[in-house]
Amino acid sequence: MTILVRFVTRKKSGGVAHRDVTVDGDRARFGRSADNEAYLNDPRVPLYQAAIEVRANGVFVEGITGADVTVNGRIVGNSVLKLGDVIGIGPYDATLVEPPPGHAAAVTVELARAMGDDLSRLMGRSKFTIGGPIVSRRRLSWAAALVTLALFLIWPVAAFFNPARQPDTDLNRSQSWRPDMMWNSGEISNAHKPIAQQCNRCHTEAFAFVKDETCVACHETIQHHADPVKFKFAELTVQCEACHKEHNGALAVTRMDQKLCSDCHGPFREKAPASQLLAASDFLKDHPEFRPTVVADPLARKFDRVSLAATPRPRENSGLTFPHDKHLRPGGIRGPDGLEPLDCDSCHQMAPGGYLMAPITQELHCARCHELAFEPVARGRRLPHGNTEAAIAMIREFYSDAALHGAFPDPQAPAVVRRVPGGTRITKAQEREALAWADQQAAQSLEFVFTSRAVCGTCHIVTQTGTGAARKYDVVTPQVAERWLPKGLFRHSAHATETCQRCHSLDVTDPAKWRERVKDALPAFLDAMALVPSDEGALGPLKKAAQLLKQSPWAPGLAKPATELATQVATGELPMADGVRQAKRLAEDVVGAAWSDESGDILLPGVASCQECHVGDQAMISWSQPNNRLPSTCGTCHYFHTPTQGPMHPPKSAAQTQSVPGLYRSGGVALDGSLKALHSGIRVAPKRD
Amino acid sequence: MHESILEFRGFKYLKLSAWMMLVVVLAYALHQPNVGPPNGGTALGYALGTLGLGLIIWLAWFGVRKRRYGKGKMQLEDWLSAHVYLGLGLIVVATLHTGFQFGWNVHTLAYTLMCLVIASGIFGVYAYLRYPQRMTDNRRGQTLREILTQIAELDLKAREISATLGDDIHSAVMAAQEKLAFGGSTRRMLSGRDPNCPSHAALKRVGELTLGLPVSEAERGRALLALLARKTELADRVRRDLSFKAKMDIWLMFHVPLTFGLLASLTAHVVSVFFYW
Repeated sequence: MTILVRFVTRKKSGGVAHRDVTVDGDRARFGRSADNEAYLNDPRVPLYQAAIEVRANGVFVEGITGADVTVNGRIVGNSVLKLGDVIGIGPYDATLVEPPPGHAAAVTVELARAMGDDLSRLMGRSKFTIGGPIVSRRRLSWAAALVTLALFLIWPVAAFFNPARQPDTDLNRSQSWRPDMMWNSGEISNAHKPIAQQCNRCHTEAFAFVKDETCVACHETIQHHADPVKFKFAELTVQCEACHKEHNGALAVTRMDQKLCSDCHGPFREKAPASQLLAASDFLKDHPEFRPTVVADPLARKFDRVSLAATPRPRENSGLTFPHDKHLRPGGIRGPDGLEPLDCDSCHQMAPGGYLMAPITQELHCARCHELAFEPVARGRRLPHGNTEAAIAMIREFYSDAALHGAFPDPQAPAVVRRVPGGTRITKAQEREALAWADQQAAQSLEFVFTSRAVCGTCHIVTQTGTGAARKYDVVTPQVAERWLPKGLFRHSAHATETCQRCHSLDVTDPAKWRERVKDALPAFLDAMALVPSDEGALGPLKKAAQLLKQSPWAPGLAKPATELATQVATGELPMADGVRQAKRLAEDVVGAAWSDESGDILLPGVASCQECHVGDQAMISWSQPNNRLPSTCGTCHYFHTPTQGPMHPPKSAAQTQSVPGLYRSGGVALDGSLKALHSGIRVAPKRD
Repeated sequence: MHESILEFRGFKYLKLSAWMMLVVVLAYALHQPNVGPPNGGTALGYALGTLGLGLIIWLAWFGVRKRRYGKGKMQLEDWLSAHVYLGLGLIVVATLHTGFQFGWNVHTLAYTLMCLVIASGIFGVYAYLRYPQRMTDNRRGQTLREILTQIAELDLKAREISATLGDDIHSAVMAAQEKLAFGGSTRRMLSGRDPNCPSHAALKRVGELTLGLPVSEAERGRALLALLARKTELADRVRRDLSFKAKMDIWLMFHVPLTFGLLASLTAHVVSVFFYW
């Protein structure tokens, strides 16, 4: 069985051409796909549109895969065809015709609706992509690139090279916005805020680090780290910029990492054998014991730098006698108004700035009790402190005046000295007698004042020269350290949450001496009290006393319990009231013993005390130890720019590297706390009109 | 079997990018600058900046590479997959390079442009993964040109019928045919709708007019309405198609110009940083 499909083409000339396709079988499909039996190459035709099928009862048409089929203009489903029926296949008309002999069916296919210009006109009117010649990706890209470059690169660079640009030299220049501000990479530190908008003040040259000369133009006195002639290390010639980074926010711009120091100071003995410094690389793991600068000889003004770890423990000879324990006796010290309890801050006050303690003066801190009287008759007269000659003159003047004035209330004095003042003038002989008495009294008084332990000798060393009338006294001026550890910065105000005793009591600074002092005072007191079952009952008060002690800063050092005392009370051998009194007394002794009894004691804690809270730069010491201490790098206590050195820039000759001893002793910290002045060495230009 | 660019080669480039991000984050967490806070000017900051710059240039080079189909060792699919994943990884690299220091300056401008480029790229990935399927569904497997051809075809048929139905109907049909145009403003194309569609208007108008037709013409009127309804439906389909296409194009209108803005601001960033070292 075959189906004949005849494709008919009408020519413009009017002739008709045709092409026959004979389909084997009873089914012919129409569509654009090439595997259709009737293949119609036209975009308006679906891939598979329709099929005709010859069946026993006629020729049928059906749509393929749901495509619409029209027969004589009507949409049909599966439909039987009769001769002359026209099937619409896109623009083609397929007409069922009488089949020639040998064919079961025949169809002519003719292009009925040629592709018109509707399509091209519709497409011409329409726009199928966004954008267009004006707003194209290419144009936008060029515009974005060029505008950005012009605004953010060319403009600032042009402004930089503008010959009319005024150099930024005036600190007080009114600050106007300039295009290079767009390059600001981050907030300027507070210290540099006044020049924050003057980029060229620091960035003087293109494509170059900020120059050191630029920094020292203001920071002109900034000191060197070490003598660059003696220690020729490349590390000492670094640029400011290596450690000081700007544009990182309001806070400091200084390098503080431990490596900065430990690179050199770790292997320091090999690196700089000429230096007297010891090696240190980590505050917890590798830091020498403190070596305070102490007074060795107040007369010769000799100072020693000695390690606290030295045996025997170093002592200071300041020329001053001052037992702390007497002044801090629990319960108070006898003063003009009765018992007065003193505490550390009765005398030691923080100096402004919070670094050091303010100096102690006789007038402010001692004179209320130690009033420097020299003669009971001279009521209210006090010797001047700190001026031996004036004191001697005052004594001599007092007795001369008393002798010549008369009415001196001493029955052993000559009559002329005791006479009623006024009346007739005394004779020359009387005058000589009176003045001889005065000289004698003055000599006695001076001897008392200077040599007894009652006035000057209470605290001071007094030297004598000559004998008789030529005898001369002098008080050795004590040398009291302003700073024992001038190479480090200790800030008392930063440690205000701690008690003074935490670091300065004898049990901390000199435990060996302290143990010796408390050896007999309180053996086993605390342990015994710990055995008492409760606060109630007969032993309650004793236990309370023990608890008070335990809360005291000395508790950790109290190792020896007063077993005997406790046992005596427990057995009734000692009355309860006596037991409590004795316990309190013992407690007081222990507490009191924590105060030093000699001014030679150096009441400085060792490095281990600081290490209780401070560690190196790694807060975590090991995996097994919890992180509960302060990470502290070298820069926490030490400074890079050493106050005793000459200026860091420009590099200087040997003559300029002389250190400054006075500055060294105060470590660059002025007592008023004006640390910054010496530390940053800044000089601000005077304001111009 | 089609493989999405996201799943390309068993997520090879996702893994590469994830490793890069992990290394970079670890380095950032472990790095302690000598001076001050984390910052683009530390050793790690310079390293991250160099890496970020390299990534940006390489990512931008994709625009050149995709025009040279079939060249080079890597397939274009490799490039695209890597472009997507390394582009996402760039967010981490560049953000850590900033050290979270932002301000009103050329440096943050470059960072912002980079983020916008990446954001538009993310939309692009979404569009390229989602819309082609929806476009195919919308066009019922036909091409846009086929649908337009069908519309032209329907126009022809409609004209033939309307010519027999009086001037009112015929002029309404003709006007709708003459006025119908797809596209228009970008916004309209994105919306996929045309409230002033002449085809819709003609369908409505002809619907009203055919009510008054005599019985002898009613059947032709119905045929005409069927043609117009079909055409209107095809027109809506075309608009939806154009809308998808517009969405697939519009992000590139941002992605590419922003990339050029980014390259320019990056130049300004790098030059200015070393200009004022």
